[in-house]
Amino acid sequence: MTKATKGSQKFALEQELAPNTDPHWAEEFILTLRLDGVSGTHIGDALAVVDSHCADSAEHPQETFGSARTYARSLELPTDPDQGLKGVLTALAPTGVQLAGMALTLTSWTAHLEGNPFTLGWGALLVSVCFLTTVSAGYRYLGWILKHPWLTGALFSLTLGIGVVGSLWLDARETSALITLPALPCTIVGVAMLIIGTTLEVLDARIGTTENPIVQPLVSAERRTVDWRAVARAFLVPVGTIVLAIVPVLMS
Amino acid sequence: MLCTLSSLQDGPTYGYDIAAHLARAQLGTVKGGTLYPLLNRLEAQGLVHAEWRAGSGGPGRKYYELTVAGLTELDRLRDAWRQHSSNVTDFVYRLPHTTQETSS
Repeated sequence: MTKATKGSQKFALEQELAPNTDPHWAEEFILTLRLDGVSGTHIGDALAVVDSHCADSAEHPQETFGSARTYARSLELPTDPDQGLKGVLTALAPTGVQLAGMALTLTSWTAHLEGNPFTLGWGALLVSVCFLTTVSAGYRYLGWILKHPWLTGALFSLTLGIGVVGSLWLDARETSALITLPALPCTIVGVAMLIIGTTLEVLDARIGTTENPIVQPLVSAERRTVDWRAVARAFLVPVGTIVLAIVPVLMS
Repeated sequence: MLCTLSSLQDGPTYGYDIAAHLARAQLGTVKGGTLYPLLNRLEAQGLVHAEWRAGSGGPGRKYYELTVAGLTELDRLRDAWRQHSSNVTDFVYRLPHTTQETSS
């Protein structure tokens, strides 16, 4: 793959939405408004204004609009409640249900095969809390994260590392059991969570309940098509769960 | 703001045309970074109405049109400007005479 092809793929969205605008400038403009919680409709409108002006004036956007970030903020576009933390959590809920179902299914299934009850330890709880805290903080401080990817990676690893080491220490203690339940019913609950999470993911990919695409003016929203790659991605977690659940059966 | 509203009095037009109109009238170069935030504010205040129209052989253009409230505001700003410019003119041209009177 050539460097030019890679570049054109990277800026495919910017070139589609604003072909007369420098894609680097457009990228920063879109990113700034996205991080500020502006809706896709308003972003599409504002970007089309820039593109139209650049096409008429043959000027570089930096020359006539200045910094993409400063210009984006100067427009004072309204923020969309669906783009806030509540919206992000709603969007992430199906994946969260899937991952929780996967963890419950695999741990309880393994316990069932070994003839043991399902045990939720303090260690697992600690890892879950560390993971949820990291993910929530990630969405709250997304702008900072994009500016400091290496430091973010280090902090993320440190938090999860503390969780894993802490869980190992807690699990090594005999008093670490928090809840003990029959294994097979827990597996059934886990599978049900997987089915619910996957159904929600597929519905979202087909009708777009949580996404907020950038809409170009004069282009009908009816043009939206089903994102089949998103539909396929929805099945990654259940397929992975099935594969991981078969491994201990084959090994026994 | 007055000049921008005034450039819309002949009918709906788009941002680049407004900037070009102001430049032709020797009112200086208005950058997109200044013009569009102002047009956004005027739209938010209900002084202009905006709509997209398909471009011929190029991208679409966002046309801005004065609303009734915008026309009223334009009249108010014109009166205020007329009064202000009259005050400034009187002050600038009477200053030497007034100064002489004061010193004598």
